[in-house]
Amino acid sequence: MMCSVKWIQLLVMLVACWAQEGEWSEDAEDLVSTVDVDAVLGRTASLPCDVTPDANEDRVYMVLWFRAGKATGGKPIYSFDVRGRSFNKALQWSDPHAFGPRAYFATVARPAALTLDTVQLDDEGVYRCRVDFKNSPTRNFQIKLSVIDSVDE
Amino acid sequence: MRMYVLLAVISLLIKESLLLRMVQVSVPTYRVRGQVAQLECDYELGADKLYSVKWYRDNEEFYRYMPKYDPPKHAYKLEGIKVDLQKSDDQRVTLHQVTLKSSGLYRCEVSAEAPSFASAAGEGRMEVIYLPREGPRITGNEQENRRGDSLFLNCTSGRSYPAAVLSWDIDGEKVTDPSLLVEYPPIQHSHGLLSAALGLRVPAGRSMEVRCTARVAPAWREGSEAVVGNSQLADSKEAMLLVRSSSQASTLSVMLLTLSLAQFLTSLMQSET
Repeated sequence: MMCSVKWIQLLVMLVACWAQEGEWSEDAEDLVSTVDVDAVLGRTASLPCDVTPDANEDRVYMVLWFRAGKATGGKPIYSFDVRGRSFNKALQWSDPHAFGPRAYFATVARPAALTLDTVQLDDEGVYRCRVDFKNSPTRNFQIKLSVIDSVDE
Repeated sequence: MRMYVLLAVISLLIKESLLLRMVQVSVPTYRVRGQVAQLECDYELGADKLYSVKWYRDNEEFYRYMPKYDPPKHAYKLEGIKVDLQKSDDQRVTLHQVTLKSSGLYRCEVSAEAPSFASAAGEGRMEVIYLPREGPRITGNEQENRRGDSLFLNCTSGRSYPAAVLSWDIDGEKVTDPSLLVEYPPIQHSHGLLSAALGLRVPAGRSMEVRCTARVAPAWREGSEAVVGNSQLADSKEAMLLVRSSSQASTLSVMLLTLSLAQFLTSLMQSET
């Protein structure tokens, strides 16, 4: 009897784990328009993410980059933290297990873009850029990066 | 050796439990127009601190909770969404009087503070329904009835969302013969409401009781178990008519006119609001 109760508990736990809603998957964002970016292996790629606020008095608070499908524990692969500092002194962090020093969020570009140096085949995938503003609603962009081996001449 | 393995497993489990984790996002599958809707975002922060909780409907943000903000709660204007800030916090958001425009895919995204900014999300679809105020109406087509050798009746349901499903009974038996039924597309009304229509050819030459039933039950998609046993989400109304027809075409319409008065309506389940 005790045994069966334990089994039920285990089953409940397993079901709970299975039902747990996980990280961001690309399918979930089907309403967000996707931008396709083609990059050449070994060259530089630019993943656009418009951070210009709609209202003049508003400002960017935080920019987070996520990668879909990869087991990152829900952590972003790049963060751009403007809280309590000026925009050009934002705290930038690039996950060493993802792009590491190859990535840089270029905010002078219009639109702003995550610049990725020496693109690797493994970089191919779907990314999401989330922009938190001080006042305006959050913006989410989806970028699909395709890596091509060489340019056809 | 075994001890080490056990310790390794335990430390792994502890490490896992220190991470932000989404437990469950609960969004009511169905709400009746005018009702309040409570959406819940159940998460575990582990060792992390909270940076933000964001709620989106169809990818548009309508509510956020950010503890470092003053005030931490903020609602954005979105069509069909009125957030009750008093009854909303970091784990739930309450919507005032939902409308048909409140339907959509609701998503909660939770993010931990620096340095990890670990994020987790979950979502659920909510559909807002509108139960009919009026029962179905049975009408006859004078012209049609004057010429044919059978009586032609029409049943039109009251306005609802989704459209009612109509069925005809003759003497308590459901009419399934497609040659006796005439289907029409639903009639569109303002605010997205619909009414359904279904025609019936009544064989002439005998007396009978005809009944039209209009059912509104949002069971058109998976996960509709919520509807079963919840009378507030289902509605069934009917109209009845006694037909005494002779085979003489000329008398049919006269009969119909008199009998229309015998039409009555029953409402099995009353919608609230």
